Amino acid sequence: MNTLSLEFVQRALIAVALAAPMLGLLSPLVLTRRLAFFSAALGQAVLTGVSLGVLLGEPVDAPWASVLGFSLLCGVGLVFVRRRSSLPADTLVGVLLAFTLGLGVLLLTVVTKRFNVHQLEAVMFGSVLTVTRTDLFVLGGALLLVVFVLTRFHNALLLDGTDARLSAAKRLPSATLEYGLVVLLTLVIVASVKVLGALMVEAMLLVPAAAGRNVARSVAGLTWASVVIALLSGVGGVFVSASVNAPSGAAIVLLLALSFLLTLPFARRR
Amino acid sequence: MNVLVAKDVRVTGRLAPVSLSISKGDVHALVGPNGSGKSTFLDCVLGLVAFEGTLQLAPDVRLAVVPQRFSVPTLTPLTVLELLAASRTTRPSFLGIGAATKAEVVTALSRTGCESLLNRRVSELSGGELRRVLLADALSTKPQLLLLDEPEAGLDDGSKQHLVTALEQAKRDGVATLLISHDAQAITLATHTTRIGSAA
Repeated sequence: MNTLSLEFVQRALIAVALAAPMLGLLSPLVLTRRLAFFSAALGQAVLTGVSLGVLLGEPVDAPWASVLGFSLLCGVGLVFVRRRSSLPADTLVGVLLAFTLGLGVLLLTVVTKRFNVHQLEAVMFGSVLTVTRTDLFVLGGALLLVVFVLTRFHNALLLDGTDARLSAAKRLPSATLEYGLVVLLTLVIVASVKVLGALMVEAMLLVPAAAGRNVARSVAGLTWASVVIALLSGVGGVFVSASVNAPSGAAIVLLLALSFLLTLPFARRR
Repeated sequence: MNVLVAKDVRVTGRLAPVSLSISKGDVHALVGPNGSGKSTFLDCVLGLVAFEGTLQLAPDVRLAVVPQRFSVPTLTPLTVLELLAASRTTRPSFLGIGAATKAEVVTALSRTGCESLLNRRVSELSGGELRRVLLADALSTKPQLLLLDEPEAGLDDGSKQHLVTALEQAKRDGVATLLISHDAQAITLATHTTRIGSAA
């Protein structure tokens, strides 16, 4: 049977075609603003949010209120503390990562006494089998939001992420931009979890720009390279996933890593 | 008209009390030994550091800065054109930079003779080239208060002459300038000088 004729594969391809450009567009900003480690922490918070949601009685395959709530709390909370602390950002992210990991494992232990851990696999690693029409509308809405925000605030986010003094002199609303970007990142991460998985989504926010940087000569080039790499890896990952019955998130991340390796010889030292 | 008035502005352990006022057309040199907190004072003016004392800026004053240490974007291939265009238009650089914005950036860069750097990556510029680009950007925004933190550092003799000419022009244009410098030639342009002592 032709893989493309399967309805769930078609839905997964549409989901990836919506998620990949969205994450690919944001990826260069994650790189510029040094939010790679932070994105990893947010992905971890999603996993903890899943366990929390299941414990609070949400459906085991869709605990989205808890996922969104906990992830937003972690993201916004971290920015709040970072802006008031003299500690380096990566130290604070490390503390958050340790906290969410510890809490996540603890809650997961409790959850798996009530449910089979395999029921959580789709959320942890992504599944092409479980994408619904509602998920597609959520992803479509998130993509429109990202395009809207970037067409208005991309340059401000870029400048603000480059140099604090330059940003202050140009009177950019640094706090608003930082909080806004973190909320946007949280929304797109949660919206993409169904296809990419909580443990894999961070890779889609980091690797496209990291690979794109190897070949791009400008931010514009980097942005488009990032979108193309995310899209190719996403579509390819869905085919691999459907063909060998493997988690889609894992297949997509492996292709992203491959794209990074293939572009690495073109990287310049500076 | 005072553009900036500072009274006993201090940061414990980092900046001894500073009092000064800068009016339109002034070039106010802030001098002192290394580590005395000159750059910290500049950060206070920019609102980046909490301080004690009072600091008043004229309402809606247009600021421009050439920082001593610029966070060079090594992770992204940001070009000079993209850096300067980012503050001149909201259109994202990945949708292409319009001809009018590009012309504006070229005109800005010509103030310090660095139009040829337009398409270079910021991370590939030498310290002197970066300083000339940032000075060109700062001057072209028609600031009312220009904050210069050792703008002569890393400049060769020709570039220093560009800097002095640009400062003289800014003075004639009525721009208030706060100048942190160790360069004798640049300091001779100052209309006022404030010396700050050790912060400890």
